[in-house]
Amino acid sequence: MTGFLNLAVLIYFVGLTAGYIAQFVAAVFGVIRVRRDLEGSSPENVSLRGRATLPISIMVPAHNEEITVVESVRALLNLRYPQHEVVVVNDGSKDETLNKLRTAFALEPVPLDIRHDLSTKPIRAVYRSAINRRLLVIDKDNGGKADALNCAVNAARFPLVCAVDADTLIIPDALLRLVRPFLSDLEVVGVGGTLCLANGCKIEKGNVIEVGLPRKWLARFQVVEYMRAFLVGRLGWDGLGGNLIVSGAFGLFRRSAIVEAGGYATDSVGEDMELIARLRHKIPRWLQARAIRHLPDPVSFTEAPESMTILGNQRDRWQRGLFDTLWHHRRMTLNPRYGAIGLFAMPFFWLFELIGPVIEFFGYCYFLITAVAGELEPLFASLFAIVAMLSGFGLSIGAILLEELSLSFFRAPGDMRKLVTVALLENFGYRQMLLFYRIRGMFKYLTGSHGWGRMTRQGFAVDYSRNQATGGIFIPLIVITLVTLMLALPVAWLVKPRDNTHVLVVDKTVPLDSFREHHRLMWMLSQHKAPAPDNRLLWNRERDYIGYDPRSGDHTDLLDIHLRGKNVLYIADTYGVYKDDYEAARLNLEHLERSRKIYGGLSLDEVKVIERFAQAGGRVIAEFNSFASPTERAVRQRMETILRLKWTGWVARKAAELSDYREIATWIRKRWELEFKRPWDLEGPGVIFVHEDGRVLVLRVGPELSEPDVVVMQGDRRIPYHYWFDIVVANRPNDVRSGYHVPTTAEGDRLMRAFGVPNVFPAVIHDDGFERTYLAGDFSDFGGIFDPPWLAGITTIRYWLSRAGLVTPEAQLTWEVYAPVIEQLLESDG
Amino acid sequence: MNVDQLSLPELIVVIVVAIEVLIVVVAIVTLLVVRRRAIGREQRYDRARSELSEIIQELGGPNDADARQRAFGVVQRLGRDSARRLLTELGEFLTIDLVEPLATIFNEAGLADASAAGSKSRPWERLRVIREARALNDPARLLGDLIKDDSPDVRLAAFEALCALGRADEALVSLRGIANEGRLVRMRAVDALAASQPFPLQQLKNLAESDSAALRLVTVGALGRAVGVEANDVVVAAVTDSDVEVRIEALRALRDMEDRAALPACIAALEDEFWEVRSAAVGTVADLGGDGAAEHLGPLLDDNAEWVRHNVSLALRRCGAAGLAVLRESAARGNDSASSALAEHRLLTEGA
Repeated sequence: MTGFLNLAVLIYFVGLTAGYIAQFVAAVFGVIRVRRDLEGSSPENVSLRGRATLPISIMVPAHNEEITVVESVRALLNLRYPQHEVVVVNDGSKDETLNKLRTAFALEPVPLDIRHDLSTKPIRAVYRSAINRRLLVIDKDNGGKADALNCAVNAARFPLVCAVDADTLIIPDALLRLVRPFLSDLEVVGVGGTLCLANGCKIEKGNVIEVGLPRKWLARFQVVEYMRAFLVGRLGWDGLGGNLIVSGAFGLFRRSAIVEAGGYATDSVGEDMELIARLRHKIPRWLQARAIRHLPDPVSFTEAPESMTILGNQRDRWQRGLFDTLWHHRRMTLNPRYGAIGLFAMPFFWLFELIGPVIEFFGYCYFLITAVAGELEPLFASLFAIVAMLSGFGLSIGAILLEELSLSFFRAPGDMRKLVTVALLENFGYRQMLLFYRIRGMFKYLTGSHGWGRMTRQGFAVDYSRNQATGGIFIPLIVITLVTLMLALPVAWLVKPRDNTHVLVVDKTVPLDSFREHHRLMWMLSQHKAPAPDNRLLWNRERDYIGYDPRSGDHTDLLDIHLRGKNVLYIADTYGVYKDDYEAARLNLEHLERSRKIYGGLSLDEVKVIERFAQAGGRVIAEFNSFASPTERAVRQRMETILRLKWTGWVARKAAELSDYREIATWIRKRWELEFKRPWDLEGPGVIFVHEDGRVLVLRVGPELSEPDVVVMQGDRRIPYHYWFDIVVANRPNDVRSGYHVPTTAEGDRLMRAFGVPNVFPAVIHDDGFERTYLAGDFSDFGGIFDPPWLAGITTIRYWLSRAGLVTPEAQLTWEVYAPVIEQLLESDG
Repeated sequence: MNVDQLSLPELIVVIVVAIEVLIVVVAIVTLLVVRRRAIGREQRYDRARSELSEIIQELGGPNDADARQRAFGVVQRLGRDSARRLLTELGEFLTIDLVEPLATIFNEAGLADASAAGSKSRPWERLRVIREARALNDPARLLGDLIKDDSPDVRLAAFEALCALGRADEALVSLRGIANEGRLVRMRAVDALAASQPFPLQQLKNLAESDSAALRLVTVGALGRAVGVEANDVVVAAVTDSDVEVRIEALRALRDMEDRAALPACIAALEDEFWEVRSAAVGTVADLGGDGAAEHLGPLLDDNAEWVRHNVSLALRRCGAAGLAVLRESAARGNDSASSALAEHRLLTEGA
């Protein structure tokens, strides 16, 4: 499955790269062609020849543009072009847009008869400038940008209409350059120019005097992005015959074609792209490549967002617009009637521009998941990441090269170095951030959101270098911090060096397929990256042990061959599985009666294997129930020798309620009744001690116990322990690292002494080198661990949470007693 | 990394990485080299342009010889390509009097050879040569050959250049081909011919009787737009040409020529079977007929072609009181075009 996914990712990536390479190559030819065209004839020569010059109506939709509208309109009126007019549509602005225009241009109301080729929201008034008859201003009810453009189309007098944004700054001869295709080919219906960023430019009276790089990195990233989009993407598709977009901020169209197509769609946030798609429906197949063009040299400047919130809204909206257009015009996809558009451009946009962000996101998730599952092929993943980064970097360098060949705007020393640096750095964070916004846009589209979001104009008079965009920075910071932390823990775990301790786990007491008996242990091993069998990263508690398999009923005894290559033997439990275990375990009850053994206990052969392993230098760690019943005495004694301890024969556990017959095994009650010669009438919580010879001692909380819990004493900590434990004596007292304490009353003391049971005894025994370790309890059982093991530092975090009392008593034992033991065991070299 | 131990996908990816690294390095180096050379070239070019722009002022003056020498030196310091570009740009900018010295420098610097080579090269090179020739008064005498070029774009550009340089008679050899290359091309050809000095009047009059409608169209258009040319009879005759477009062009030309003697022919055209012709005739009749045109235009307010009705309503506004009277009468009968024209006229003349 992993191999298949790797191959799928590779194929996808190859397709994406091939598409971009094709665009780049076509763009190079496009730039060369335009340079040659311009050498052969200057724009003025082509465009200023009498009636061959086609007059243009510039359409400016304006909504709340009071800051920039006057300068913008003034600049538009002063463009170098033989005959043009400017039609501004005030789309229900709530600010002073109309008043500012009125004052600046001496507008007079003119009840002009405007055609109604396209339906729009009602027009309130029409104005003509008294000082410049080429300016027409229409005041209408708010209907959105598309509606405003449709109104401008209705009002436009000339056969060509140029759609611009209110904040777009067009270079003086841009129209001369943009109109060229219309002069030589009657079939052209739309031409787009190149959009550059005004951020960082020197602007006077609405004209770009000097082009420069923005100081803010967010805007710099967008500079390179726009270069890629226009000089590689648009120009490339133009050469390939599949131009799908003419920017709404700067595009020239035949008015008749827009009218015939039904105008701009008012229900789409991507009205510019949507219009092109609809225009294409009217264009015959043999004209698809010619009819809509892109030229690199007509340039206009627009303001790029310098705050993440606004940028996010913008990219969110663009992705929704893309989705909307592709979906509504999906019949064009793979349709030969639309030529290269249908056969190449549309599928490319579907696969790589629309779905691409989702696939990329899942790529990151896939990377993490395979790493977690131990299926990650580090070399392949690393190389793939490098390839992906280099592809993006290479494409950006190509775009910068094309800019150098076609526009040559960035001439200041250091500009090239900054652009190349931006091209490299955008792969580390910026691209991923856009990924988030694009996916958000798709999600919004699927859930029906169609808003434009908030755009805030800075104004052309503002020095962009001093822009202090503080709005909207905190939430992204918090999100990024959280995401970074969330990613940091698994990444830190991933990059942590692997432990070189090879552990074999023996567990014969696995009655149920929850495998909880060694859950805690395997979690610890995974957390510390002790290699699992087959060198995997994560331990699988269902198969990475030998003992009893509850699913198949098979069992595996310990053999020498199992310990080959291992340096630690962990014996979790050898008690085994009994006939009634299944029912009792299913109901989470104690063994109510002793039933027939299915499998369990250590055999002589097995203990010999352990002895050979220990003599060869292997480390042995065992838990409660490793050598007790049903292991035979002789075998047990050899185990005691290995482990350097002596079992007293006593085992015990806490009982939550002594009167609950479901909790107390029948044989225990019977033995007690025999011992104390009275019926079992005990109530409340208590601790039950059982000797291998059948003696039973019960201490009740209150009469015999001063506190409800047996505790494990670890340093200054007293950690409650509720499950089974045994009472052993260490051969070397210095090896006792922590102990149990049974908090008895005077009566309890007396009973304990009478039965020969100490009330303080070892819980954890090990030497300094962890050659032999004994845990006198069921420490490797489930333990309430819900965290994934592939988070670095989780044991430390949980340890301190435990110290603060913020975890359950069961979890306290895990984090304060068990985890440190295992950690030290794995870290020690033995 | 041991290559032998790599799986096939890993090996492929390693190779791709190596290739990509190479491509990126080459791209960056190319970028830096291109940029450095471009900046150097631009700086040299700008310096040369500034210098030459100053030297030009001295040409033809007392220091003419010295100025020419210095100008020649400036051109020599640039590469051939940049020198041609500089001289072309300056030639486009200057008046005709100062072009001659530039042309001399062009020839003396040996740039004519480069131009000649370019005229036999690829189409964009040929277009560049034409632009050069137009700016510098064809110093290499290449336009005569380029007018017969295979490429339509080159032929048209050469045609326009020859007309601009007063050599329209040489350009006419390709007029038949140009006239058949579409409306936009014809428009450019007409404009070029109309502006040419001296105007090839007799040649065009002869061509006006050609069997090719496209050729007749161009000649009629040119004859109609040329200033100070006596060709009214030819244009008037074209009002009844067999070709629709020729008739339309003739009517538009007569409007520009302001020949009242042509009015009867134009009025007759108001009854043409093609609405496009009627529409063109409307404007001409209005301009030539003045107030008296109103009676002839009035009936067309009920024409079955919308554009005709629209143009008539606009035209009647230019026919003075008589025109307005006709509009009012028609508006009273519920004619939309008349009502709209009347309203606009009233508002524009009476103010807001």
